[in-house]
Amino acid sequence: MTALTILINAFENALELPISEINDSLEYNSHKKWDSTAHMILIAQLENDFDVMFDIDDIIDMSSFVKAKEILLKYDGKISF
Amino acid sequence: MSWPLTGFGVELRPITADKLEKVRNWRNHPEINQFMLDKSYISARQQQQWFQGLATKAEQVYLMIMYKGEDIGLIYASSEPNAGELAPLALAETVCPGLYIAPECKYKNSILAFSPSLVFIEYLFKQGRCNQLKAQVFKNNNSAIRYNEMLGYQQGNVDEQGLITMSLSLQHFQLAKAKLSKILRF
Repeated sequence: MTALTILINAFENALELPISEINDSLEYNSHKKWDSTAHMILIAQLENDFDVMFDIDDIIDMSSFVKAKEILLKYDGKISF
Repeated sequence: MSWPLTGFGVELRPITADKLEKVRNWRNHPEINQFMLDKSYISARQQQQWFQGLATKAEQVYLMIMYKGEDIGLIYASSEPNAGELAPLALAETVCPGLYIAPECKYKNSILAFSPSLVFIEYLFKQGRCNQLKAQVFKNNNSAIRYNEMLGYQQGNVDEQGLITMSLSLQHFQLAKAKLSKILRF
């Protein structure tokens, strides 16, 4: 499974969104299903799936699908999206 | 009590007169107002009167939520009415808290929204005789219901207005706090 597929699946599970809505335009404050609880679930899932532990500033900064990719790349230079 | 309350990256400070208009604008904003029990528009004069009365009301507390020096929302609590009377907060066994994050705030739907509640709920359980918190949430406010459940609240009855009463014990809060603390690693 590619890193992108894992990331999309994490968003799908945390935000309970269809895959068709998970793309680079997805960001919080623009989607009703992205609330603070979904954000919490998303972070827990990404840390588990990518075996990373984010700094709190990165957690709070993870405000879009694009931002999630940028932050994950900081923690694991071997992955690509 | 010495202010501010701090933890999980946020500070909770009593509202000051210079922030009254900011708070009033938040409270009158449709995003906030739609989920309030009292949806009436608050005038500047009403806000001033409310603020002047606040200093003498031991049954309520209103605190500004601050993150990195920025005002990001309001958190508050009142003792539960008992036969129409409100006991001082420190003597109340049941306390009713609430909060909102500012409508335009970039942290509104972020994980940071849990921080003020974690700090404030801990305070409410420690400050006096409180052994239970109660929150009333409209049954269509899914985000607030999910948010409260993450904090350990249990759903109760729904009244004729469509309000769900949710309650929280110290034990359930401590379990929820332990889980949330694993992610909110300040």
